[in-house]
Amino acid sequence: MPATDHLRREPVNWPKGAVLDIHAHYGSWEATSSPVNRPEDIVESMHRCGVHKLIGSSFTAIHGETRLGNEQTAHIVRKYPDFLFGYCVINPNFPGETAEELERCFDGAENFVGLKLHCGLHGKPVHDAGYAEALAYADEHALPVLVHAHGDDNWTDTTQRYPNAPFIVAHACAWNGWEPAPPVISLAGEIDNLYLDVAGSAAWRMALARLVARTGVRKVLYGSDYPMFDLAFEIGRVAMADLSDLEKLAIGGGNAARLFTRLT
Amino acid sequence: MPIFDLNVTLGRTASPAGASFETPEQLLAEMQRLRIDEALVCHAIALEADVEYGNALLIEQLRGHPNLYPCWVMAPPAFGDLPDAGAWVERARAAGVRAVRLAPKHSHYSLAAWCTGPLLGPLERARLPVLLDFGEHHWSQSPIPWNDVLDICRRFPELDVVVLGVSVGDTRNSHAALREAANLHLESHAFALPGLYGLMAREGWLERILFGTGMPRCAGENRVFLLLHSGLKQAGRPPRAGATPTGCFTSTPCRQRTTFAGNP
Repeated sequence: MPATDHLRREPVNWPKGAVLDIHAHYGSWEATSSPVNRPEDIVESMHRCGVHKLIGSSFTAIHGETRLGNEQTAHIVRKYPDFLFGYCVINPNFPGETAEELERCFDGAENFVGLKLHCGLHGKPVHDAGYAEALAYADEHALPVLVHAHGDDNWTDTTQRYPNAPFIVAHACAWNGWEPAPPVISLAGEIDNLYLDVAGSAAWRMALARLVARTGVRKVLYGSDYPMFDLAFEIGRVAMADLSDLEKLAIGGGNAARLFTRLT
Repeated sequence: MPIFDLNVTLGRTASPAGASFETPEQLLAEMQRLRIDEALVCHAIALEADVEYGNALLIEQLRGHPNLYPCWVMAPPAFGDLPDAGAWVERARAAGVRAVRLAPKHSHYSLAAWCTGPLLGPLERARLPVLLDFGEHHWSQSPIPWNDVLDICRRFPELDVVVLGVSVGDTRNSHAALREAANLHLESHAFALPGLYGLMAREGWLERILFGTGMPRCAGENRVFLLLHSGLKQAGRPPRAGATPTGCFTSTPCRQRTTFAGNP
């Protein structure tokens, strides 16, 4: 594409370091097929799409082998410490392993910047006792907690119990913007430490703008759900949305930079 | 690089409210905002309710809009409820229709050749491409009846078949199907596989991935941004290459280029 044409179409002149993808995955998930998923592929995609930093969790970790998966994440982010960061996955079905995983990720490794809870896969809501130790740790260290919701989660109690931990509920733009919103979307507009990401959604037309109108722009964060989605897919919706540049910058990375204090 | 959108619907839909392009001017305004140059358009009433009335509305509403190309919805006639297939296809040609869309899932008929064959034969002879619409589905699922798709590709080898809505959950099936049938094409609006266009190029299949947005239900922003940041070079390509669905990335003339957009 001629450079001038590219610039003509570029909707946002993102400042260096401004775009932070807070929802990606490392490894493979065989329910789909994503052949472009090696660490070098991820970094190449980031350069191609203008994403500056990316935080991911291991498929292996969220599917059962928590320790091996967190080790996989540590290995990957070590290869590209300026670009790739990790979530420590906690499995509430094995609460006896929590302390070891927290130590492995936050004391024994580098570039871990938050917790990832997959309440859907693990079959336990966010307020389950199996998460208590990890959430207390997140509260103590002001660590963001990315949550794939279970559906029966008690967000009001959980966010009150751990007020220093920002909770980010994934996939909020699965809501199409005109059907009744899931309760968590309304709650995100009311609860100070409850946030939403837009990762991995069907990308309904106008849904992002309606989400922002509902919750306020400071509550919405960009995430890609890579490698099920090319990085350009979700960041494109932000970049070309019918929103102001300031709103795009907030969603694209400004909000994440405020929450993820360990991103360097 | 002009962009041709293969998958746009005009007209009010029953639901969801607020997401329709009620007039060609509304559609054109969104296309202009997203810098989409041309589109293949079908009518919501033809898709959702009354095929013949919706098709007639489409022709009426697109008059005077040379960058919007009509796509009629058709279905296999039963007990004479719809025109004789041969005569219907002739009428479509006379009306300037560039492609035909079948929605077997919505309209409750089988895609299998025993049901659709009497319609597909005249379409093949008229060189009218067929778009297969299986509705929106979650990206991790695979609801497309690939055996039937491949069967009609083989029975009607001169018919260009375009499957709408292929997603990452269908990567393995779609890859194998493309290998099996040279007249099979995929539309892109739900297919955000990382590096998709590069992977298709590697297989020599770039002319078989056709750009679509799925508007107005789906957002155009993601899809346009993904296309623009696909990493493919445009250098040396003819200036009108992107004006047609299969011409977006190839300088090699192909049947769809002349069929869809009327290029010489």
